[in-house]
Amino acid sequence: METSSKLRRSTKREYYWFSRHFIVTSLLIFILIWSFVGGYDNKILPNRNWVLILQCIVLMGMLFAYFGLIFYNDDILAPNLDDMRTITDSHACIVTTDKDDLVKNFAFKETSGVIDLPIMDVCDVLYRER
Amino acid sequence: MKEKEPWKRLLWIRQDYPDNYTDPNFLLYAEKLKEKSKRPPDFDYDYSQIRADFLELYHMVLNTCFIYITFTYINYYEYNPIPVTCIVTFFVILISNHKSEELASLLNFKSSMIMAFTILTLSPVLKSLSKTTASDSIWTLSFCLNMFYIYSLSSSPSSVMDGRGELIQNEKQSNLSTNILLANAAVLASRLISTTQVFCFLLISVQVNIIIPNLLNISNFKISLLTNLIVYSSITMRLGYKAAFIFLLISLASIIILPRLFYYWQVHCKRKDYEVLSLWDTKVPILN
Repeated sequence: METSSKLRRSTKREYYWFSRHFIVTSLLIFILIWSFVGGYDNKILPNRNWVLILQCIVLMGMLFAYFGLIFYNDDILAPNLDDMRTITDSHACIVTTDKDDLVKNFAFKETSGVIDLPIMDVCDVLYRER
Repeated sequence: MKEKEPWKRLLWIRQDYPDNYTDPNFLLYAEKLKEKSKRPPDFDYDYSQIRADFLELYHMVLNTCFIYITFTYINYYEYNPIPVTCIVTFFVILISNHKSEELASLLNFKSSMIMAFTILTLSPVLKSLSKTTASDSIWTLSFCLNMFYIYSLSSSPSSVMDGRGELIQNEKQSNLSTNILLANAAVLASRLISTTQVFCFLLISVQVNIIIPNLLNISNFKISLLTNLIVYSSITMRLGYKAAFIFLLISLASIIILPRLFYYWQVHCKRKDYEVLSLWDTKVPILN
């Protein structure tokens, strides 16, 4: 009884995959028939130019999804290089020990963690006029 | 030490596991599947069971035809719907009294009266709800709703995969299909002329499509014979012999050829990784 109900449920799952397979296959066959039969003189199906148009729409939609969205993401959504968000964010942990302490503790020993440097101090070290 | 909670395959829950955590059950499952794919496929399905399932689907589709038959009867032929409604209601009351012990909760007198009065109150609203929409839009919308209705009937989510790839039984009966049927009836009701017609139409479609399949087994020989007779004669009357013949061909194909095609698909075309795909599927949305 237990196995039969389990089998029953797994068959139900099989029906789902089969119906998907069947629907997609019959859609393909329908599109083929439509593109061969649907000329100007038939009364049942719409004009077969629609096949071309719909396929072009799908193709251009895919092209848009693959390329347009990447460009949109890169060019518009990404912050500029001089934006503060490129350098730091609200999660940055800024070390506020005094300088001697920092040198004594970490300059000649490796640390196990990563410490966010205060950006103003970095700029000070790098670009200070001598 | 506190027992760690078992891992769930849900991304939106914050769990005490690393991001790249792989469920050991899944690895076991994948290994089992790899072994299974090496062996020749085993089919222990009962072919007569498959055939019975497809026949059940056919009866389900036939039953959904009744909403259009009723609509044509009222809207196109402009017959008086009251006698038919009385007959159907009388029939339903007769059956439900016959089986009252099991269905006391489903169909007691009070709730059915409340339902009837609700439909009566709503029918003027439904009559004018989409009056301004063009008829062609209504037919298209109704067709789409009917397709969705058949889909929701046949794929009621009675079994859902859990995290370990085992099917768990969903106890709750979904009322999604009932809602879609009512939406379909409400859309079609705007084409009717009087409130009485709308009320009768809604009452007949609810009784025939929701209550009778719950009371009786629609795959029963006598009932299916009656259903077939009514559906084919209505199609022949309204659309002519050619349409009835095409409908007959399609239904014969769905009864005879589709089960064979299913069997053929299982032997030759089925992908081996369907089980993994269904295991890692997105969750089924909760619609009710």
